[in-house]
Amino acid sequence: MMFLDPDFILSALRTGTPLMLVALGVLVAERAGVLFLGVEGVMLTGAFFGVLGAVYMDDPWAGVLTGTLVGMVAGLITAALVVWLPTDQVVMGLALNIAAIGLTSFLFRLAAGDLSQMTPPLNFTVPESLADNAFFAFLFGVPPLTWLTLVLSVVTSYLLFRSAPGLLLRSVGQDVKAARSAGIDIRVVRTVAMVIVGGLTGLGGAALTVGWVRSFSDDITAGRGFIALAAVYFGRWYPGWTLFGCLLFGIGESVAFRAQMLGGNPHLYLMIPYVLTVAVLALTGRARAPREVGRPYEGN
Amino acid sequence: MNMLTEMNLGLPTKGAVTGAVLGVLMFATAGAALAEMKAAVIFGVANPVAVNGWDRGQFEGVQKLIDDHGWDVTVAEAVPFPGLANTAENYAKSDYDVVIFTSSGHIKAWNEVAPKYPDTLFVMMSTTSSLPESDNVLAYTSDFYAYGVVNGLVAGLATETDKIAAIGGVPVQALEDMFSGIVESSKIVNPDIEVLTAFSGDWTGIPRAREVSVLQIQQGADIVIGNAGVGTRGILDAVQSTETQFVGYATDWTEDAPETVLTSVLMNIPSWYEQLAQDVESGALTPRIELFGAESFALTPFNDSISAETAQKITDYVDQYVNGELDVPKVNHSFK
Repeated sequence: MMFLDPDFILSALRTGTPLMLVALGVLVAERAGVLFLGVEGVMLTGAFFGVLGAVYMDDPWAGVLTGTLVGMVAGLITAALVVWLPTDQVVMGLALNIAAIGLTSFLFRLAAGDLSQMTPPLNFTVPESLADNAFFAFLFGVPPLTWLTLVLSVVTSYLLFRSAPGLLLRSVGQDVKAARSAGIDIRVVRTVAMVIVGGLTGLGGAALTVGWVRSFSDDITAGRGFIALAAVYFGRWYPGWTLFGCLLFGIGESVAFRAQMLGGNPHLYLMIPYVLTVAVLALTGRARAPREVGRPYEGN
Repeated sequence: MNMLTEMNLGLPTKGAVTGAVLGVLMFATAGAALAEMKAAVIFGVANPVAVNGWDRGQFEGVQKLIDDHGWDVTVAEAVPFPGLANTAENYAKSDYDVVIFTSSGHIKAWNEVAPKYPDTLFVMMSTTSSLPESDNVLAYTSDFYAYGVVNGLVAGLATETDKIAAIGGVPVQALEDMFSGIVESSKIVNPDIEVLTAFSGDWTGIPRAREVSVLQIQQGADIVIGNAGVGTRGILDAVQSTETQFVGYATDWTEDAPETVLTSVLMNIPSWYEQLAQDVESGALTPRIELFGAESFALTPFNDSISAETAQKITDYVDQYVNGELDVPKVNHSFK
């Protein structure tokens, strides 16, 4: 009963949900040819503003919306910097991460008094008539944002691989010259993509704070954005495998928590998700990214 | 001059040169206390006032130095471990009278820097078993075993499932002492008790601390004691989400979640700073570790989750322990 019981699965889902949302964002960015190294910073920003919105509007969904909207703004800023200027995508991504840590820490200090309270809970309540049924108890125990993630995954997958806008976006990420020859405005496509990407990443941040731990602390994302990035590589830029990669990390973390009950040094167990991530990445071999990822588009 | 004499009496015999240097330091320190002491306090976390528990307690102590004693205090936040020694050195070079470390994770830097700057007093406001080989050092801390005993009495009497959980950040010595105290005292008031212990692996991870706590609660724990630094917020969230009860660490947690916080065991960290100020003002600066025992702890009022009878019982047991009428054996458990 220690592993693979409903509580274990719920724990893995709680851990994996923010990663899945962020990974979807990274996936879209890279499919559009933008190396989104600023993912950690945008996630952190969404995490902070999510809590801020939830506390000040006393509604967790308002927090989720705030985190998403601020993420979209951050995505737009990223687009302005790496698509329109365009600056080096690696340097700008790292700079955005550092700036986000500074900005959120500064604002957190200003709002610390108000943010000492927990945000309102974001979960479903099991109807009393179904509370004794283990299956329904499990279904209602799944975080609402996990359901939303599943819906968004299906939508993203459909839009990317079964729709005309998706084809447009993928062509921009694969070969800008060919896309431009076909009359596609590269900058507009990438800008729209980055706004969506920012929204998904901000939503991922809000899923971490509002949807999971209900509070904020400095650098609360603690590298989760980069783990989502690794999951995209693991998933070879396909949503299904990418989400599986995120879930694998969630499972690894949940195993790490539970393994402590076996005794021994807890640090040893806490390495599990990271070792798992490295092992999986190593075993999946070399993946081929969309060809234009990381290359600045100069417009000629 | 009286102060200087008193201080010199407390000096270990280390030669005339060392004595003279320390004498100058103490004289300067005592003299400065009459005017304005210049102190620097080093925190490992950012925004310590927002981190309820240990760091907020430390910050309240800092405030005491400023408000009650007129010290000029500079606070360095979010100083990473590799930068501790350098930060402390910079303050010493800038003629600060006192440099205060706020975590036992700072001990290495304390040991490294204190001997180099004899004109500055280096203070450890955390658990340490030894002092740097220097005459300009002091340490103030709680007896964490006794602190654990008080927590164990509270949780052991309040539990209805006979299972309590103690969640920590990293198994450092202070936590091992605290958890050992919990195990031993809860056994005395509740022979059927089972104490579940777990660690989140760091002092900053709220999500990790939350999930570790959820797991202990799923194992049947209905009272949770948490000491995981910033991560303690995650423990509180887990407790609140599962409608169990939380025993607040170090400072008052009631405002964070009144219905969830059974009580808080106050560590009274500001009293360490008060003692430091008094020691500086009186010149009692002989290197020592000042240990604050059970008499310095206090419980905040209980919430409504337990009966008045149970609350009274807890209060009685704690009083007995503080007054030395309840003997709790000192047994050191290992949780590594």
